[in-house]
Amino acid sequence: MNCQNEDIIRFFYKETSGEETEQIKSHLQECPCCQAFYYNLEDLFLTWKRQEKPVLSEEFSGKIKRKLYQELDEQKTIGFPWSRFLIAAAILFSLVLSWPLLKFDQKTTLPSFPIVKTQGKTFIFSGEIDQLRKNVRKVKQTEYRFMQRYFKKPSFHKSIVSLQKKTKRFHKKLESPLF
Amino acid sequence: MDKSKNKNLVERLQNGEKRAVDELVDSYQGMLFQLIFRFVLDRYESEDLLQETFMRIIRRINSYEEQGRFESWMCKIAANLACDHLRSRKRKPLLYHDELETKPSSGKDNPASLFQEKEALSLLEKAVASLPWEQRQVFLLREEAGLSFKEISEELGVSINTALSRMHYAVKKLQNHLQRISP
Repeated sequence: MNCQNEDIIRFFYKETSGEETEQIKSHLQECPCCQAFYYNLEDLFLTWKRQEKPVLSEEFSGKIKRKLYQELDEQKTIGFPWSRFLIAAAILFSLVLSWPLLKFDQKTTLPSFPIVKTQGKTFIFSGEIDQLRKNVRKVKQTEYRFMQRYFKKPSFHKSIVSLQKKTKRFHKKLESPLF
Repeated sequence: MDKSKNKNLVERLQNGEKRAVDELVDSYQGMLFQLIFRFVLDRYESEDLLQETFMRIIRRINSYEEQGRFESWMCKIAANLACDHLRSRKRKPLLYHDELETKPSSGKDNPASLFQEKEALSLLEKAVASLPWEQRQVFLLREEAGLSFKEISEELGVSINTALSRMHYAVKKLQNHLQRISP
């Protein structure tokens, strides 16, 4: 066996296989150079082991433990998917609320739920577009056009003003409330 | 702590038991603090890093697989943090030995020999601190963290032979230092 200090180091740390260990042991008995290296190595690590060990205060240990308890609690909270659960619930809730808005009348492409009522001077439609069509022909045509425009307009306020004007005109023409 | 005790400790930590945290800190804070301190050589920085080490252990405890020793796994985390910290510090570590609260070393009572031993230990510590970074890393991982050369090579991303050769150079230099200071 050749003099390999790396092998002596591995032998010193008991990281050699059975066969290697035997080889190194017999080599150490024969080779004074490797023997010296081995004893110096032992001496070095015995000295190193005598080093003073840093000690932590009780107070600091307590501080670490408290931090770790917090971390454990946070992990437990994260463990249950509250955030996902809440997001899913919010999506479901908003879907339920907005369902009527999404439900369109296929014939008119306008919502089939009451949109505007006519009450005194506040002109808000309350009828469905199909009913308007069936009951009052003139109203139906103008109303239908209006409704189409209403939904195309970007400003809600403008639409309401326009709606009021239109409805006033219908009142005059028909001489009766719409509904 | 033996293997079965460690296994039990890991399971309890994975279940989020607070008593297991106490056990973990009480059993391993000394070992981990010593390892970190030997790298960083600053008490306050070592304390911060120790706290961060325990936090990482708790965060990663669910991903711990029982492949190697639990102590090695923790030492790897501590050593990684210490190495990252030193890299970010970008300066040579300083010795703050006076600030260090230490256990009195047992042994000879003769004041002269005590002084001599203290002197020798201090010089050895300085010698380790003055080793090139790669050699110091291998030396401390082997000696303080108790990692095998295989684990060290995996940790540092080098071959076992490279790790061994670095250790060899480190040992040679430290032996020279020891021979110089010994009467």
